Amino acid sequence: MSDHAAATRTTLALRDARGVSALWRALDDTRVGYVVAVALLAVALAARSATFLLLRTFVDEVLVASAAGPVPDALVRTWTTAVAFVALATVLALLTLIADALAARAAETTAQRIRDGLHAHLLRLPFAYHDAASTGDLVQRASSDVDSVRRTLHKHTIGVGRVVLIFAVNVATLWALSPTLMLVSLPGVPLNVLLSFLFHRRISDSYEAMQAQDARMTTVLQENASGVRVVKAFARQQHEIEKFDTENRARRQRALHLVGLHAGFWPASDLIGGTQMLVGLVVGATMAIDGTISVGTFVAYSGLIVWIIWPLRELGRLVVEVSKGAVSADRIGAVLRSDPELLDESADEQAAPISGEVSYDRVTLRYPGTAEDASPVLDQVSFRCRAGEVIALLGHTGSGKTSVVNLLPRFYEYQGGSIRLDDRPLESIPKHLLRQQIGTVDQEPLLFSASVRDNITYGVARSVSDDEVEAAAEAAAIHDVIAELPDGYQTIVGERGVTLSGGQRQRVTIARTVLRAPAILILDDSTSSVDIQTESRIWAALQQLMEGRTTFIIAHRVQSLMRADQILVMAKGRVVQRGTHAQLLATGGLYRKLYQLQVGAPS
Amino acid sequence: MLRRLVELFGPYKRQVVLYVVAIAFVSVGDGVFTLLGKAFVDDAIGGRDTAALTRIAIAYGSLILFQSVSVWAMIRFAGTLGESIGYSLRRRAFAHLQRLSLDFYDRTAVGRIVSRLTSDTERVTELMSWGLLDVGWSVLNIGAALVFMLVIDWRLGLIVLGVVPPLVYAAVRFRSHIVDQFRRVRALHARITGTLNEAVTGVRVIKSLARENTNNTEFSALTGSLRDRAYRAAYLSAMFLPAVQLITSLALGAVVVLSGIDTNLGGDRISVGSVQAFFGYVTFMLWPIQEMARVFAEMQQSLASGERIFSLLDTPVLVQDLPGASERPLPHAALSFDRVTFRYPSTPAAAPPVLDDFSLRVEPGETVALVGPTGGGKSTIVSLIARFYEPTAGAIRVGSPSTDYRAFSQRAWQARLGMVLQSPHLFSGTIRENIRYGRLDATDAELEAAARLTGADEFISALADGYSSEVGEGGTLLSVGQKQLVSLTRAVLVEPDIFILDEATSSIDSLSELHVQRSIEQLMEGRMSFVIAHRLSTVRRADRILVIDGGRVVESGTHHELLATDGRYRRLYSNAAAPSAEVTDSLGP
Ligand SMILES: Nc1ncnc2c1ncn2[C@@H]1O[C@H](COP(=O)(O)OP(=O)(O)OP(=O)(O)O)[C@@H](O)[C@H]1O
Ligand SMILES: Nc1ncnc2c1ncn2[C@@H]1O[C@H](COP(=O)(O)OP(=O)(O)OP(=O)(O)O)[C@@H](O)[C@H]1O
Ligand SMILES: [Mg+2]
Ligand SMILES: [Mg+2]
Repeated sequence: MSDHAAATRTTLALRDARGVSALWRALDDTRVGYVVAVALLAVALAARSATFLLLRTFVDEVLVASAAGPVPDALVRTWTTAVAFVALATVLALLTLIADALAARAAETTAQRIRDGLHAHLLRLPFAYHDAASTGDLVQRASSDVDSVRRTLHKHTIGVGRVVLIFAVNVATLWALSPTLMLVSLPGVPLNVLLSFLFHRRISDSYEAMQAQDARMTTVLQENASGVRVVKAFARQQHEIEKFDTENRARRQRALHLVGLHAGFWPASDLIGGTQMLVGLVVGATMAIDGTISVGTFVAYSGLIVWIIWPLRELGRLVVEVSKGAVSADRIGAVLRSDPELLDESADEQAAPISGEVSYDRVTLRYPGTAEDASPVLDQVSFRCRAGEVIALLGHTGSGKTSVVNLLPRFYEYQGGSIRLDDRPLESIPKHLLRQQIGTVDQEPLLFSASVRDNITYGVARSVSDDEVEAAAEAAAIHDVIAELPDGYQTIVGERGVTLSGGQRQRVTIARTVLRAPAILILDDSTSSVDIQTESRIWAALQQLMEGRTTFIIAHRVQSLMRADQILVMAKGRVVQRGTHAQLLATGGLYRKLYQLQVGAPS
Repeated sequence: MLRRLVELFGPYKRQVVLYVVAIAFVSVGDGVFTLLGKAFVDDAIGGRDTAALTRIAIAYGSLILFQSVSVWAMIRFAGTLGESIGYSLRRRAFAHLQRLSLDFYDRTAVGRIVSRLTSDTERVTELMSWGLLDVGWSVLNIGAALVFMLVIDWRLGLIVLGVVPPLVYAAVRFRSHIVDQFRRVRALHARITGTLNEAVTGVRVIKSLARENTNNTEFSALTGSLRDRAYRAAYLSAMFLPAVQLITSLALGAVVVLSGIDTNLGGDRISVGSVQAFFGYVTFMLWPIQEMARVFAEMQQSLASGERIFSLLDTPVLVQDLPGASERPLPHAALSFDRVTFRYPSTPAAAPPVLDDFSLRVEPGETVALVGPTGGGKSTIVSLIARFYEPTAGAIRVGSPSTDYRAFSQRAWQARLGMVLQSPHLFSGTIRENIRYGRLDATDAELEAAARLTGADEFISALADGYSSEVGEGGTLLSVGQKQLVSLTRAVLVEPDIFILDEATSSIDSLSELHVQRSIEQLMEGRMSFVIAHRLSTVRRADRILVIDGGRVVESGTHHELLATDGRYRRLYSNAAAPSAEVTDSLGP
């Protein structure tokens, strides 16, 4: 699993370092290939410079010389020059190819590591993080920002090496040709570098602003598409069009700003480069007229000077690109810097099965991000249950029922009190293990756009036989429905399961949990969209599964939970009543009121 | 397809012309630079002529200025054109998305829709601005260079001319092959993004199933094959430039040989400046060739993107207003299903319909409750009323003399509905913004009055930020019941003609529900209402209860009538009530 270790190292690098140094450290062991690539490039570029020297010799000793009189071995020299020329080009081509391939290898490998590491990290970030984050934003970071880093590593970083080398090699060659010429060719250099740095700041700021606006526009689009039923139900199409248009317009605005900067940068840099070239050519020509340098030298020089001016202007672009890559690396780093949950996956082996004795002792919970002085969501919640018992929770909307059960798999951290499982502090049990043994049917069922079968088997790692899947579906009273679907168990449900009815979705998630046969079962309002007859079928079937398993049932229908060993009635984050159905009915209070309302008894 | 792309230029004709002119200036200017280089060698140095040197230098300097302006114009126009086209494409596509009916959304993932309007649009506009620029510049540049070369020395020019077209052809072919590789890379990319999207949306499920490792492994398999494919594609494309370079170096070799032989034989001597110019032209030609090959090759992909956008724009809108649909307010009249048959557009035509020959008449002001087994078709019925879908056969009519409800515009119709969907959806933003979605011009006071009516006010005012509290994406920061209360308030704020409550209170406790019910009952007075629920306490007081099963009304009547007949409803109800007897017994007198 060295891949895994490398992915971890890469993500650590992105987490701990900033900007370009993050990029460099992310390369990790692929740096070797990277460095070799740059070295090969250096050789390749030397080969190119050599062609100019070759050209000079040819011009001076064959072309110019033969104007004065016949050159003895002109033909041979001509051919030699041509062959050497092609040979050098071959070397150049081969080395460039190898260098590019090496850089590509390094970049793709690193990109994969970042993708894997980031994906793993996203899955490890706590619920509270995801509550506050936006899906579109996270996905953008994990896809297009990673891609931008990849591009930077593949093309731009090595490109910087390339242009710096081109510049250095050609300055050296120029020195060999004529030191004077070299000196007159350089004044434009700092100017151009300055220009590109000035612009690079502004261009990358502007680019970032455009990306941010792009993200805002995408969010509007995404929200609109996922809420399309609401949009239609309220005939808000025009409103949405206007909302989108505002963002779309702003995006165009930002993009045009960026275009404006580019339109300023390139001509300015051309102007500097061109002027530099002109000065060089004029000085060179004057020297050639004086006879200070040969015609061949001038020819070689006019070929070479492009390779001094071009790299600098390219450097500007590359610096901008690299800084974009660095911005992306930082955006990825920002996600990585958020603390993940400690899951302790390695603890699997010593796993003692959980028997399911649970106790909450004066547990207090505040969700992260809520004000300190606000009343807590759970206020001194205490209860205990033996293994295998059925605990029911009922109470007002927002009274904290879901919050109570969400603490058991440690989806959120609580602030006061303690929770014990099997008489051990909950915190001493590795999260991974804990969650493997707790099966939750969420209050809002979420299906993936896959086949019904894949959705049911989603929670189990092993391969499952059709019989098992069908048995689970039977227990959730959904087998008959699935069998009637166009492709049976292979039917693809739409995104989030939209092509199923509400009750059908709920039952598929019940089947998903049943198949896992966890030690502790949590059913959070999981039959709210199911009619009473189907519900009693489900309960009858679940009875078998619940046997010997601690089960939490949250429901609003009293019928769903009156067989529980213990019923907790909640209000405003507190347990206000507790007992069995009979006890609670006898006591009166909220429970009896709810019950009477539901069975239609006069209150 | 191409015609439709060209049509996109329509509103910007003037800009397109200026842009082409700028490109032409830039490419010819590039060629003239090299020509001036030759003049340096032949006229100034060869003729030892300082006056000529000054003249050439001045020409060179003016050309630099001229080029700068042309380059500025070229970038400016290309950028503006691209952004304008992108903007209007997105605008059109979004407007069309608002018209498209739900069948489209049932079968299209949100991620797909998003990429149509983002990356696909980007690719098309890129092609139409920078892509065209690159091709235009390349073609003109190569053309100008060839002409200049032929003028300088027709034999050398012909050599180069012999090499260039086959080179371009081969380059484009090779590029296409590379692009094919990149297309596969892109497809993998899209899958990875899709997987990421599902991972983030479903992260709570994944975590609670402790499935992280499996997901990571599956994801790694995808990224691993992406890495291999991308590397292959990169390798192939890295071969491209060196190969082109190698071929052009052969042409340069030929120039050397020819000029050497020429000089030697003392024939029509080629000037040094000309050799230099040839070197300049041929070396420089690498770039336009490369650019051209790149753009031509990527063009297929961009065209495919264009195709996808146009196919989105062409997706037929199933739910359409009849010609001359009226914007009139809905009449206070009966609504009837007249032998309606309905099959979801996404299901095969052979599948049994969800509603089969379904008829129903609801009087104005009547409250109808729909109950029955899950999957029976209750939500489908109200989706039809809301015109999310339209009947496959039969019609839904309003009033008497009855008119097809399609005679009303969708806007007029839907604006009069107050609907709570079975899965309550909230938008990211504050509670206030979400409630106001029901009526955009509602004042804060009206909004809060509606919240008091539904009882949502109670929990909202207990929140630290009250009505300004953020609800989180999809409303994750609220409890499910609270989300239902907010969406109920949103529907109440509409003061609709028709109420549709699809399990609007399924996650709300019975006491709060009672409160909601009592207040809404006043509101429902005189309005037509459809209430779907499984809890009998919710439906008991309806004017009429319909038991829906298998897409049919199997029983119908008031609560008491239905209890009196021995049928489904009574079985459901007695089932529900049975324990009460048992418990009352145990409680004793
Ligand atoms: N968008 C859709 N595309 C295809 N089939 C659908 C779609 N929505 C629902 N169905 C199917 O139509 C049938 C009726 O579904 P509907 O949602 O109307 O049931 P329901 O009575 O509301 O059930 P529940 O009480 O569970 O909400 C079901 O078999 C369901 O699978
Ligand atoms: N992720 C969260 N972040 C912040 N606050 C939350 C979050 N989830 C719930 N809350 C708040 O905590 C309180 C309790 O919510 P919880 O979901 O536990 O209620 P519940 O009893 O399950 O209600 P319901 O019956 O409506 O499902 C509510 O006021 C809710 O707004
Ligand atoms: Mg809840
Ligand atoms: Mg439904």
